[in-house]
Amino acid sequence: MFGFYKKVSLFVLSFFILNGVVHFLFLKIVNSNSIIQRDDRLFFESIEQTEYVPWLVIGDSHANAVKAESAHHVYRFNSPGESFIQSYYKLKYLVDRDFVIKNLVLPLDLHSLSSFRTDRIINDIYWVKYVDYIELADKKKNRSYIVKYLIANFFSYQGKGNEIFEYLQKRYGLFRPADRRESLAVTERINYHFENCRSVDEDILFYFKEILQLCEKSKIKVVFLKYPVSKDYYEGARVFVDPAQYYSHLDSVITDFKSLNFEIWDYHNLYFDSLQYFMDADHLNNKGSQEFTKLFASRISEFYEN
Amino acid sequence: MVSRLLLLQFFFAFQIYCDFSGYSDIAIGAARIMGIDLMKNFRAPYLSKSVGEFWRRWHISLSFWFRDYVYIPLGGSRVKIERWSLNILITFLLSGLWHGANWTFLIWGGLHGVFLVTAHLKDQLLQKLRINANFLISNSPINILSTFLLVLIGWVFFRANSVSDALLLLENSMRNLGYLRDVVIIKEFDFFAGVLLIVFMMVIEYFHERVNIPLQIGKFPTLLRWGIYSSFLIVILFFGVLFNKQEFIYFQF
Repeated sequence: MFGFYKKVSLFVLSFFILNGVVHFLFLKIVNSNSIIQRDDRLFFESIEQTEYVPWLVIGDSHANAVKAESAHHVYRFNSPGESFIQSYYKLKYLVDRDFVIKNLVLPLDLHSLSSFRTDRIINDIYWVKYVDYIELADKKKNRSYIVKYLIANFFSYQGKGNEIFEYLQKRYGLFRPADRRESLAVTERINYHFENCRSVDEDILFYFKEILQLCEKSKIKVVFLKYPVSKDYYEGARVFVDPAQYYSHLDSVITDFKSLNFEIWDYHNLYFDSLQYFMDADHLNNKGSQEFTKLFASRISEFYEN
Repeated sequence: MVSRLLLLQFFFAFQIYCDFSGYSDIAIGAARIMGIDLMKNFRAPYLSKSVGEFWRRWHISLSFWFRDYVYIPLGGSRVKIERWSLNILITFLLSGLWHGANWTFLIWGGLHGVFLVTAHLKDQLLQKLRINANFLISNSPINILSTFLLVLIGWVFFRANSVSDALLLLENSMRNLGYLRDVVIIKEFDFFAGVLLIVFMMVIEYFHERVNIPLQIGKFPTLLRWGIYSSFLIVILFFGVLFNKQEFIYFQF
């Protein structure tokens, strides 16, 4: 019997050694070259000298509409599918490390508090740097966060078979990338954001309030931005969410923070008649982003002129 | 030259096989850990040389159940050819109905019944004409390919939402033909990775038909054996899906 246990222990040990090697190689070779990690490095490289961020744009992919390189004083630090849960931990990370943030641009779109993102963190290997998974598991009473935490820290390659192929594609150009045909895909996008979802998820609302509290405490001015979307998307979303009711609820949440300095910039209908600016139903394309950034930059410049 | 629809049919055939065979293997493995030996449910079905053989390799537990509780009580093969044909058709129609009360499943089952009866009649005809059928039968790659194509036609009905959808799919399968590079609509590396993994699986199945691979691995020196087991675990971790709530396709049946 002792021989059996000895063999099992030795096998487990040898597996963990091999796993450690694969985990390390995956992090160093594949993951460190991913777009999200590269953008992360660029962001910190750009602020490490001054540790001062006049305008910080965070949030999901809607924030890609702001081309930070074309707007002075603006630093964009968003990521695809980022919810307020992730945004909170990201902001807390910066504040805890004494980065001085003057203005925070936060998305306030119709889907920003939708429950479709409540337990959906893409790329745990990246987020484990910011998000306290153990705290989240406790707060949300969801033990899968602990598993995700362990996987991100010890089995980073888990479920990332495709990323190996993507890495090889990028590194060696083995295969032709898929055609990026632009299409509005209105129904898909609306269903994705709103179908079978609560328009205001309690957990996301909790972290939204946490962000506001952190900003209030750290004297960060918040600019709530309603990003431009296509008219079809907006009309379709209204089937699921009543904008008046939704925003009135959020207004009451925001105004509860008595000493919070904030503004709301509403651009949701800015390009209702300019479909040529959209990549899909709710994302601006390159041309649209350039146009929007000009507008955004000129609005920011007003602060400096005054 | 190939069409998008043909590619979709091809991939669906392997999707449903890997999905169902995979979860059968999980059940078999989990049971074996607890000391229970379950029967094999799949044995390289896409290497079958006839539709009859396919059904001895695909969803074996269900095929045996239908054989024992429907086909044999109906008289099995110890009856006249007309009655035997009827028994086969009834068995396969019921097998189709078992998958769902939909015309698509009924046609899928019926088609397999027709394939089996036709193959049997063909063999009888060749015998009567005293044509040496061995030459035709021994040409394995052609038989494997033709059986796979027949099964593929069946899958169109199995997967489609309605009979009219299935007919439309079949009708358009040979239209809009183009070179592979032009018809692949997913990322090229996803496509080639898929094809590569399918080929790898088929090669393993081909050799496993001749040699019991796990038994052979068991004879390897300890260090090499552990290396192979660990590599399998690493590959499972690499491609395994832990947090996707998508269920196995066959859970609906």
